Amino acid sequence: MVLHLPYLFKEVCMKRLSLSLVLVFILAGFVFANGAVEDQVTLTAEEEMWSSELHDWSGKTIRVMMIGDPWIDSLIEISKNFERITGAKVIVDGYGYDQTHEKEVLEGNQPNSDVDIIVLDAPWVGEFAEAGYVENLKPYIEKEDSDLIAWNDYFSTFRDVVTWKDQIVGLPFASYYVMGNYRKDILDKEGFDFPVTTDDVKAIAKHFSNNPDYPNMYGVAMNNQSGSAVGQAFFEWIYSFGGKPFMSMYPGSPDSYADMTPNFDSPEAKETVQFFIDLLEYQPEGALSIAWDDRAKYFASGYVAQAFMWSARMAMLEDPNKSAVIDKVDFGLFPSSEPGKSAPPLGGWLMGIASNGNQKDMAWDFIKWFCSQDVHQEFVMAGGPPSRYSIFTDPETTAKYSWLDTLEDTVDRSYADCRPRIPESNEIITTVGTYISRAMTGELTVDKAMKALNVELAEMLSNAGYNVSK
Amino acid sequence: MKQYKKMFNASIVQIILIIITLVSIFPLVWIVLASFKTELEMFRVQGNIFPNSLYLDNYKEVLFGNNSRLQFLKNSLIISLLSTFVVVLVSSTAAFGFAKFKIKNSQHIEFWILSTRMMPPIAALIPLSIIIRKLNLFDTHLGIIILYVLFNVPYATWMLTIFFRQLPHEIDEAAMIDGCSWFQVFRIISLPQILSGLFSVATLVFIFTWNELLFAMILTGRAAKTLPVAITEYAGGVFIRWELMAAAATLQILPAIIIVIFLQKYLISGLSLGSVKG
Amino acid sequence: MHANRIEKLLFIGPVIVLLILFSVFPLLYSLFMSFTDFSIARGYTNGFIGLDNYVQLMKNKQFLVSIFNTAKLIVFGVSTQILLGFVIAKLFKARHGSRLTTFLRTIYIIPIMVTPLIFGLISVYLFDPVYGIINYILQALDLGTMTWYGSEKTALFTIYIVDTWQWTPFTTLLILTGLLNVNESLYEASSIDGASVLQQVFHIEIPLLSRVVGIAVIMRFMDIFRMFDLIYASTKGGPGISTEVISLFAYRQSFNFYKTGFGSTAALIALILTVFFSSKLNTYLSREN
Repeated sequence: MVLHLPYLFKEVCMKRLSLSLVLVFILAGFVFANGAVEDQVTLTAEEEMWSSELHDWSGKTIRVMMIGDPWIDSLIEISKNFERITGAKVIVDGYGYDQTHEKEVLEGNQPNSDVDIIVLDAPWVGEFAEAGYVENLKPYIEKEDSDLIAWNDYFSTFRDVVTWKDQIVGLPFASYYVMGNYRKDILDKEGFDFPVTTDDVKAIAKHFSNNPDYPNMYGVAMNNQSGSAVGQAFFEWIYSFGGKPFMSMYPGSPDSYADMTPNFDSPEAKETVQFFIDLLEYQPEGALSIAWDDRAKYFASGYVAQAFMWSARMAMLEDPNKSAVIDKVDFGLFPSSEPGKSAPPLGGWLMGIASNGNQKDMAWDFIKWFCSQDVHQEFVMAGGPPSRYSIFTDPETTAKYSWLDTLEDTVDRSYADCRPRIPESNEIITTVGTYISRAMTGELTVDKAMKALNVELAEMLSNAGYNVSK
Repeated sequence: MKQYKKMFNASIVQIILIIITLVSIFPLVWIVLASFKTELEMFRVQGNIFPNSLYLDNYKEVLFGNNSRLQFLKNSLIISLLSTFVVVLVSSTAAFGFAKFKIKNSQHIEFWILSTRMMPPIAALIPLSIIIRKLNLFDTHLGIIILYVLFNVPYATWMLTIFFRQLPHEIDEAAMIDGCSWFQVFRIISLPQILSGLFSVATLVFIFTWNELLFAMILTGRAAKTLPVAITEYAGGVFIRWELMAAAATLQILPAIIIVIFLQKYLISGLSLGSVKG
Repeated sequence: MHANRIEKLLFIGPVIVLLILFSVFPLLYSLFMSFTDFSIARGYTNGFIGLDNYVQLMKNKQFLVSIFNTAKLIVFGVSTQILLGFVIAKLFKARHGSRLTTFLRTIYIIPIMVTPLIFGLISVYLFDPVYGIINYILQALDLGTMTWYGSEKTALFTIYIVDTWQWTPFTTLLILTGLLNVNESLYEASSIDGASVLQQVFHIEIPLLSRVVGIAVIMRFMDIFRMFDLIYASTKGGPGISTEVISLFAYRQSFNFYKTGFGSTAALIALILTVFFSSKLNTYLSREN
């Protein structure tokens, strides 16, 4: 009996093996057949048109390096259509903010790269252009049908952002603007209109904080966290206070970087910082460390009456899994110290071709496809940030997103260089943020902090070669 | 009466211990529960500990969604297992040498070894990252494994030396008289005797590489990214996906918890043998 | 034990090479870079700049504060963790032997196996002044709330609390092992002589435990000195510069601002401080032996 066991075992094994092989083949046949059938059936009419415009990239892979903001899911979802049309697989990697910058710079410094497409942030435009990390897209655009590119359909202010000294650094496909978000329900109840001036903001903030009718509620939530959070906040608000951080940096300036003498001890700059300080008492406890995400969550959970958030967050406010204030929110133009002076902050992401990549033609195919009007509309419907004027007249998007009319009012008022787009941008913003935070904690007076900031930035910028007068 | 008093004291101590333990692991319990909550549940109600229902979407998205982290989990697993294996291999041979042979200046070398553990990783990180890039090992499993081996071998060697030192010499002498080489003594005689010590060290090294953040953050891109790095991306600063982070974090701490519960004997002997020196 | 040169080399060689690669080489490289203005993004701008980095560093308030903060964390953290660890270890020893105690002890040490990063991320949420459960509990107990990470006055304190929360089990474990090794007869003998519990603690336990406590001190010292993950996960140095620590400073300079030369200088100074303190501690330890 024992002797026979191995033999029996083998026999059983063989039978099992052959059976499984047959099953595998049947299954495989199913999968492949299905796949082939799918390919034929699901290309829409539009996509048919695209497949003649774009090349066949079957078997290839495109790598995209980008920020991990929530609309990365939308981008990945829409990119699958590209795969269906051209056969190229799209791999998208998202990272945190600092890491995205770091990785893109480090990757850009390599002689060769696996990354084909780089999605970069507005303040990095100068750095990337000067260092040559991305291709100048102008020649690519000029070779295309202008209707396909629809350059003028992009928001004008963001078009300016992606342009650097006659180069086009990337296509402006994911623009962010700051709008005011308000709890319409309670503002109406207390007889407030949405704020137009910064004094209105203060009044509303004061009213809803420590108000026994509204327990557990605060008037506002701002980006106060030390470093880039409050640093960026400064650059968001300063122009609406009528000020300018550097002598040549103001809306309408012919060359924003001509004179980089720091201007942080100007009355408007101090007024901005004082505004941040004054609002501290109307914010939730621990206000000093509130950053973008806490601010958004406080508002979405209903703890604050107003917040000024990037348009990329608006979709979250209408998601029942994330927002407790659906149907209670209204949107308004970014406030300013005096009516009519609003200069809403602008930011956002652009899509460029890595200059050290080796699949540039395919990368361009993807970019021009993804940023085209039709695909952009799908992207916005899936949750992406609107960046084209045509979105404002599209029936689907206007029906879905109630904040589009405010956005329309906002986009042309912004200043393209609201945050400097030079290589030193990150360091400037973080330094500004650190000093402002120290003023907000009371460690330094506003005067002292701004003076010290001026000195430090003057030294940093003149060392970096900018025009700084003593 | 004295007996009752003793029993009473004993129970009080027991209760205090229970409370202390609960407090100690409370954050971890919390994150595991949080991974089953929707984003709104996490923020809407203050003092919310238990999820309303077993919401599995967070895990679905973390593992299988568009931006899935599954690959990084696998990377972490591969990297940790391989690093541990290499570390144990290299350090056991070296530890054997230190314990059995008369080495000149061995005290100095031991101090040197210990001091590498004291070094802030950031000090080594900058030069090593430049080298790794030059060698084209950036974002490769091999690159990270090499770094982790470099980082852990000193400490593992130090610990294993202590274990080896406790073994009796007589058996070795007897074996060598019979004609065994040092290698054979190492392989056949000593290693089996300190198997549990090896296991302790292996466990500690595994945990360490599984948890490591800084090196992985700087030196991986997409191919070799490890799970801790992927988790920091959820808390990127501007957009924090708390609910996804909770799911990913729960996955990350799972091996640690499993190892502690099932291998605690080895862990404790490993951790504390470092203290009860020779 | 007799072994020839070749055999010795074969066994020990690889590790020595590793050590050189890992400790000597980075040290020299960092030293070299600290005299330059190398940037990992922009290469060399001016090349060799002598002691410029060091001068700048000494003038940099953020750096000086980071050293001060690190020192504060070390002093308070280590002392608390040792004291608490001792008390808790005594409790565990008192109930040593029961299955429940062994079970509790196992669960109790889980936090030290978890990456500090995750503990930090969890703590951000738990200690959130508005929707964190810590404040919620405090309120329920009528103890008032605290701003924890939210204010520069309390952020460093919060870091200290979180670090202690995670790592006290470690010191507890070490001390417990030491306590369990104390000869029972010593206790009996001293009780016969009429010693009180407190006297037992001071005259029996503390002397015998000094080695274990010494090791615990060294290890926690080294770990807190290198602290990065926790701060990175929670405050990133803020509010203001109240939670800036050395590792974070060096990291930010090298990898956020790309001033690798400058960052290396900071890392190097940290390294020198480490070696200085650890050699002092090590001599103390070997003397104790």
